[in-house]
Amino acid sequence: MGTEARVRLECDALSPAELDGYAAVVRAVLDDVERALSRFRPGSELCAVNRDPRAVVPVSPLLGELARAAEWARSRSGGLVDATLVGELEAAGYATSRAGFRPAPLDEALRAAPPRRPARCRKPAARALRVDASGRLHRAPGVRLDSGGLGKGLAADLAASLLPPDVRFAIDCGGDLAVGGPGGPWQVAVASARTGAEAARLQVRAGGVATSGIHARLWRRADGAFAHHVLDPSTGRPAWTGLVAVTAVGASALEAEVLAKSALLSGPERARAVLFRRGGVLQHDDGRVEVLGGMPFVRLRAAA
Amino acid sequence: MATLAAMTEPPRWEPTWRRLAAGTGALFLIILAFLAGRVRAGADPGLRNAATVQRTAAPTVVTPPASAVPYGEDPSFGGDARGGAVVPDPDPPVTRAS
Repeated sequence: MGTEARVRLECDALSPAELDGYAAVVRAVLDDVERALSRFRPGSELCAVNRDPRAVVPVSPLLGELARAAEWARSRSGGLVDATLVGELEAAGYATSRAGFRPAPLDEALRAAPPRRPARCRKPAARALRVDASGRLHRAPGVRLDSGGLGKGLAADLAASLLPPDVRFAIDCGGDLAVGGPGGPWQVAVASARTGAEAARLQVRAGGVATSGIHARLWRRADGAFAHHVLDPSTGRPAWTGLVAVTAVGASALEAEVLAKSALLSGPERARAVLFRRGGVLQHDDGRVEVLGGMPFVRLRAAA
Repeated sequence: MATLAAMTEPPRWEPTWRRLAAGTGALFLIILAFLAGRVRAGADPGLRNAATVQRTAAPTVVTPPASAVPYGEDPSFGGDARGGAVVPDPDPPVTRAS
């Protein structure tokens, strides 16, 4: 998926060799996801399904999970997070992996960008996906699927699910994190969209943290206009909403990824509502970094 | 006659317990809806000072004090991160767009 992963495992009861064994398990899961779900590997199952003209296609459990995740994300975000914008991504100039490419200057792109407005969803259910009990993907003819951030969140969650409960873990899959295990909360640094340095730090006991931003994959097209890979579903073009990056906390890395992208596409005002429950970080066009706390909760004392 | 009739008509509006209760209930619902709207917009009045921190772009470390509302903590996982000082992790996991 054109990204890198980092795994941190801690457990007093296990030897370093045993922890290395679990790290190898995590790596194997991430490799499986990369091989099956990358849009940039012509031999991946995802590419094969995207080339397949049939409306109903048998898929592996992994690709089935991605399709379910994509449909869940579309529903959860009110249609803003749309994993079927493959044609639009290619038209914007994102047909091949941009890993290793130096992104275009963010401030220059922001100065040249059109007036800011929240993104909107397009006709609901136009590209609905369904995986039946036999493991076949149902879709409208011609609908293609992009793994993108959903694939990273899914990979981190899948890897985390294979670890024993006494292992404290932080699985970083291209910036999407699954964290958990015994002990205190994890401290998670949020990288600045402008400098890459730490802009904020969150505490998360267990679940996921993800960041969606326009700065990491930002390029100048042949016509001189700037483009990035976070598209407004209503137009199919890059969304300029007033936010350059959003970090979200979720119950899982997948949910955090969906919340982050949904908030980024919603623009600053609605983003606060999107992140209302668990909190997160907004990085605005003008450089402001806004840290939002999650909803507090009440602990009721047990009756004596 | 007209004057007499006007004097014997009951007043058009007079307070009754039912009207008072209905008015109170309506006012309660209006205030509740307003507050719910503020909370949904991320501007919970009860958290104004503690939960929402606006910062400028200076890329400095922001470690919320242990007494603040823990950011994004999932209540379903038990434990409590509020007590004690938070020791900064020198090499924390990093979330970033990629």
